[in-house]
Amino acid sequence: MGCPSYFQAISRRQALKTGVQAGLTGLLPWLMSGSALAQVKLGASKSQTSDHTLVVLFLRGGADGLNMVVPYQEARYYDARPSIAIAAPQDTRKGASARSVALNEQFALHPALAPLKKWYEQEKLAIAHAVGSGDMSRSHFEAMSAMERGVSHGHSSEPSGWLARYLVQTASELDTPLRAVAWAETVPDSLRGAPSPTIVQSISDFLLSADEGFLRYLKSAYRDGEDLVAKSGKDTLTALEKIEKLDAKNYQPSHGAVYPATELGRGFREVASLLKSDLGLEIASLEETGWDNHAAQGADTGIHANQLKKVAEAVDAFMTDLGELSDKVTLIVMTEFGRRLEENASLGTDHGRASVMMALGAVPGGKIYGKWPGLGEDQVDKVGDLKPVNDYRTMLNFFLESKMPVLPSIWKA
Amino acid sequence: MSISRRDLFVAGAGLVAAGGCARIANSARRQSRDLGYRSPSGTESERLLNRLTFGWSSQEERTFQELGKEQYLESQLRASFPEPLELTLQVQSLDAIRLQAVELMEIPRARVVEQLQSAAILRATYSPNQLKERMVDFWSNHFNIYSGKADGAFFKGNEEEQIVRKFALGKFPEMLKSMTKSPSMLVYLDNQLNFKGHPNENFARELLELHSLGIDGGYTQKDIQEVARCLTGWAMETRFLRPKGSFRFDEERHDLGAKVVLGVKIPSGGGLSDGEAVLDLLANHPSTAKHLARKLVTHFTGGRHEELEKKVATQYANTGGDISAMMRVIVHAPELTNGPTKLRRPFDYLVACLRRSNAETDGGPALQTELRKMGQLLYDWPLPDGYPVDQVSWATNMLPRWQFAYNLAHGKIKETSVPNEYLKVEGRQLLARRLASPEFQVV
Repeated sequence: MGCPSYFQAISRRQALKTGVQAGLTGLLPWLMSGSALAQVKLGASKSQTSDHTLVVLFLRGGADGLNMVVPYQEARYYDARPSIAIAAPQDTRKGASARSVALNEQFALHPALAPLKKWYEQEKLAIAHAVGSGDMSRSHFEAMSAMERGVSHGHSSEPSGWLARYLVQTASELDTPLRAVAWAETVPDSLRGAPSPTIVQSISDFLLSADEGFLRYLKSAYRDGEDLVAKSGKDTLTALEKIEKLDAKNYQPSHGAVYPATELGRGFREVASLLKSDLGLEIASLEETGWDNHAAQGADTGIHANQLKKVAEAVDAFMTDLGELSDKVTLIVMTEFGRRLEENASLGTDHGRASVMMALGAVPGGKIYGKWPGLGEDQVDKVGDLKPVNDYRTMLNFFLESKMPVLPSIWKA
Repeated sequence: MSISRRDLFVAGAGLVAAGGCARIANSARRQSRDLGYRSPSGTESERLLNRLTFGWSSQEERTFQELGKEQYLESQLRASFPEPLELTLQVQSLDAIRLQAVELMEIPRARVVEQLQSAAILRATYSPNQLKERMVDFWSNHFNIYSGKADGAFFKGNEEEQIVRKFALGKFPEMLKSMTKSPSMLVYLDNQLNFKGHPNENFARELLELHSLGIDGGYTQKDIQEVARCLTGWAMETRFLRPKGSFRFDEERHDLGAKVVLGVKIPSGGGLSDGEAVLDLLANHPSTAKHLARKLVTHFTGGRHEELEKKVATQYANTGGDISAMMRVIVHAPELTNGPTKLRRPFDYLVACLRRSNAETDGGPALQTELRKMGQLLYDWPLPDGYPVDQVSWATNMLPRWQFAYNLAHGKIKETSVPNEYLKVEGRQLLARRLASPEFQVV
């Protein structure tokens, strides 16, 4: 297998409809159409997007897409990874829990991601393989910086983030500070330049531990004035009031969903509680580190498997909790790059190029999208990495454009 | 298993830092520092001090009044105030400041970054050479490195001491040259991996765009590639038994061919001198003068002032890039104090609160947590352009600022406190409100 012409599910018609030039000729055509689109849609009203929420989970450190969504028909995958390859679904030499879980005749999920299989079957999970950016540096920093700013490579001088540009272009007077919330320590690059993003380490921390008099003072001091400080102060007080009403600590998930007791589980739980409270959340940004597995990565168990388990459990709980609401939510799981095909001497993997993107919720799920470049010697790149034949922006457009129509116009070179 | 001399050294230093020195320093500070409190005068001097220093303090005001404006400014420009002994003690008790990078590598990275931040907070708060400290902050961002990348954190301390602080009010060309050979920069912008055949353009691009000429400085993509070729083989020493972290010119990896940079021919066979020629060219280029003048003026006034920028750029050209000469123009300019207000960045705000309230602090983890929540942990900005200078980037969530103001005034930050003498004049409630007020967010 590994025929380079393998091209599963983006039909010609879909490709044209979404402005994706079938990923065949690079980005130029739709970038151009994007800028034309921008001119048309500058006045786009926010009501087009406000009933949809985008949740982005960024896996920082370069997650190993080849072990997440295993190309189990590729003999070379098993040759290159004698210690860390994940057994094929039908490989009865291994116990069932050590085998990958088939999605189709070519790809299978890492066993730690098995909880996501049901979402694939319910057509709520779509996967794109061999996804990456044009950044050739194999540097986390450069590659993350490229993807979060919505540019081709890390050296671009574009200062703002892709989510920020989206928010700016669709801004309205109705926006609240809870329109964009990031669960992070600092403003993620994707939200640099956004109007009033709220950065929280936890929304249950978004409270003021002070006496009533101090709060009363703030309310009066920041009541008037139209300057930057006054506006930020007013926004913050509004957010504070709304989050207080939310009572995030006592949030009860629906449909029997049980969030894992991890940072990530708590983050998703808070996203769900905000989402359901109808406080205007449109963009939620989450992140999980720990993917830079240069040594002792493990196979069906071990470091990488534990990381995947964390993601699978949190995402599964979130999707369960959302229920029918998931028609109005898209969750994107992305990473800056994948890992080298060949395992290294310390039984880990070094930085590669392409990885996997997952899209859940309001997406045409149950399919694996994009070209598959193959793992043959003449199919990987010079260094020996899976080629990023599917640009991350092409895939984001594909998954999101029907809900976020201005999206293609916000990407930069 | 034997304990090396270095282990002992490192462990011993840690003990001193945790106990002795910090305590001595605090007690010395208590004895020597002026704890009297006067209200800001609300006059030109208050605004001037807010714009030039890390924030008005009663002690700063007193010094200003005693010396008179001219002599005060001149002392700031020369950084000629003696550093208080207790500050020196406190800073020198930090491993990250005192030790070399290789020794530091035995300490967890997070601890090293924590100590670097402590040093920066302490100096910004307590050094009487306030303009120098503002310049250190400026250049540290101008030549930004990200402590999270590779071993950058371990080299950053030496870089701050030996380059940023040394040249903060000195000659820019010297700083530029030293920075280009600095291990943390070599690692951060990948010149470490810049070899003949496949030059890595990462550093060359930022050198032109950010460090010298500026984005509109009149260079081309070809210039970037040629500069990258000139800098091939400029690397950090990593060979076995060599002093890791020193600069190394790796001749074997240097592209010996002829190059043309900004129209100037650099003949073949040059070696190390290729890069040095480039740095001279950049340091003497009018675009560099213009770029730095514009950046400095914007940083200190909060806006664009073309006439002032021209004067400052002229100073650069006339003095061989003397930073204090450029700053001499800015500190005397009416534009410094008569423009619209500008939002304090979180670091500026945090230090201004400490200075205003005569606070005692170790600059340590508890205080840094407050800074992290405000979004400006030092050495933590991943992009090479340094923390944003535009106000909009910082006009986000005000909650961490308010909470910090409240926590500081109410003694809720570990190892940081406002002395009782101060609280007698302005109680906790009033202080919290003053620091949280819209007026205190701006200068």
